[in-house]
Amino acid sequence: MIKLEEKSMEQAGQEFEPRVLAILCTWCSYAGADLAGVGRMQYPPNVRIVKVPCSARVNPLYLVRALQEGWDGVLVSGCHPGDCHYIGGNYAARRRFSVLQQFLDYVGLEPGRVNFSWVSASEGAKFSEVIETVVDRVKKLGPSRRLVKEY
Amino acid sequence: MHMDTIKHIRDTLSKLLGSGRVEAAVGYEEGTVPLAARPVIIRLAEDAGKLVLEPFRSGGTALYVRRYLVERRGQRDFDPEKAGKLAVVARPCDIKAMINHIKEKQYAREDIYIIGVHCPGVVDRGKIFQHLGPYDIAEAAVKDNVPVLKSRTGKKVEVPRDDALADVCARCLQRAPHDADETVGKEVPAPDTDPFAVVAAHEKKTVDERWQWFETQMNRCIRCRACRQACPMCYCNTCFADQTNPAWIGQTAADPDVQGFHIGRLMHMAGRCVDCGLCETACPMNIPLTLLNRKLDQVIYDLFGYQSGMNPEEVPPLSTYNPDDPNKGFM
Repeated sequence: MIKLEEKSMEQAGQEFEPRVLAILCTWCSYAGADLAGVGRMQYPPNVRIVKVPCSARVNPLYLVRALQEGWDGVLVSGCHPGDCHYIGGNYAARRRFSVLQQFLDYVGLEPGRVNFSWVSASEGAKFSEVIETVVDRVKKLGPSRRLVKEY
Repeated sequence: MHMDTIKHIRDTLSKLLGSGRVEAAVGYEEGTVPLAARPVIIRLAEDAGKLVLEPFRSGGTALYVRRYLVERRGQRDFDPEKAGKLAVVARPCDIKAMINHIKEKQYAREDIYIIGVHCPGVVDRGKIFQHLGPYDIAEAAVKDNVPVLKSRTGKKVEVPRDDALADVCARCLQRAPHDADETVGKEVPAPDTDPFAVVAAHEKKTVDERWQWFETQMNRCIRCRACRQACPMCYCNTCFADQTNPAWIGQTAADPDVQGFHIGRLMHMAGRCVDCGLCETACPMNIPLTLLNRKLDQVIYDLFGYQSGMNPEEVPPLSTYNPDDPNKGFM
């Protein structure tokens, strides 16, 4: 699926453009992304956004699945600790993802494939920066090959 | 394990069953082949003589305790007022697993009568087979903590203790039963080693080397699910790996599916694994799974100061949160 595009890009002699999946919480990060859009802030177009009600909705297996599907990088972003719309969702997510990130690093997944951030609804500029950072990291890592499932 | 310990256990169980203080007892009895004890549930006092304390790693009792108590509750004629206790011969790792079960509301502490055994570790069968093949062994016993084997031709082979001890047990710090209604066996001093030394050693490798290791090991996995079946903490009615709607992980033994299965299962074990090593023992391909579990134990301990299976009042770390948790890894 995604790998076919990569092959044709290689044939066309184009530079590797990573595909990054961003899973954003509705109340803060998605609104922050929207603010970046409204403010016409430029950020790399490599990101595809999925809106979830809260960062706690994100099962670590979603990230594993995303990597299996061939996404070169994943970002999960939620409200700042203390500001969760559902009071404590992001606290739970923080624990879960701290564990996942360290475990994936231990298993040998390159650091930078899975990324996490707190972006509030008013931080349009920060969202752009976060996307720039993530896309930059993933570009340097190259196409994702570990955990990828070829159908 | 001394004969006195086994005798003590048999006598205790005989009394408990005879007096009706417990309804049944879970332990291990002699298997059909040497080095393989099999689990047994006894209800009569005279059967207490069957029990052995297998020094050769074959399994743990916590798994059967949970199944027995949960299935008993589900039976039509179950009357909680009349239900008796279940006695269990438990090593410290079994006790840890049972404390975790109690935390997770699988049963109550009052439902079990724990006979805790001081544990010097068990003998790894794979290591024994290096000295005498599985089909050549006619008899096997542990005398003064040294495995002594007798081959079919009458040859006697003694395996040095350090060669035979299971790796999981060599680094275990929990040698004493920390919660037991009765304790048997001789106290064993805990080793002076860093329990996470094996993790630190693995982390000295580069990311690419670690991936090589993971990929190579997972390639050998045949997706038999023995690790899941043997684990006392793995008891979901429908395992995430067996779900098809949504299909979290593919069902096949192909590399990405296997990698996803182990990553998913181990994430579910974070904070719950008791480091009993049964997954590794059960694995027919001898994959060193405990190397992965240990990392999760270390992460949980570093981040939240939590040790699995020690205190039934402690809440599992991933079931709760603290506003002051570290923000490591978040932009």
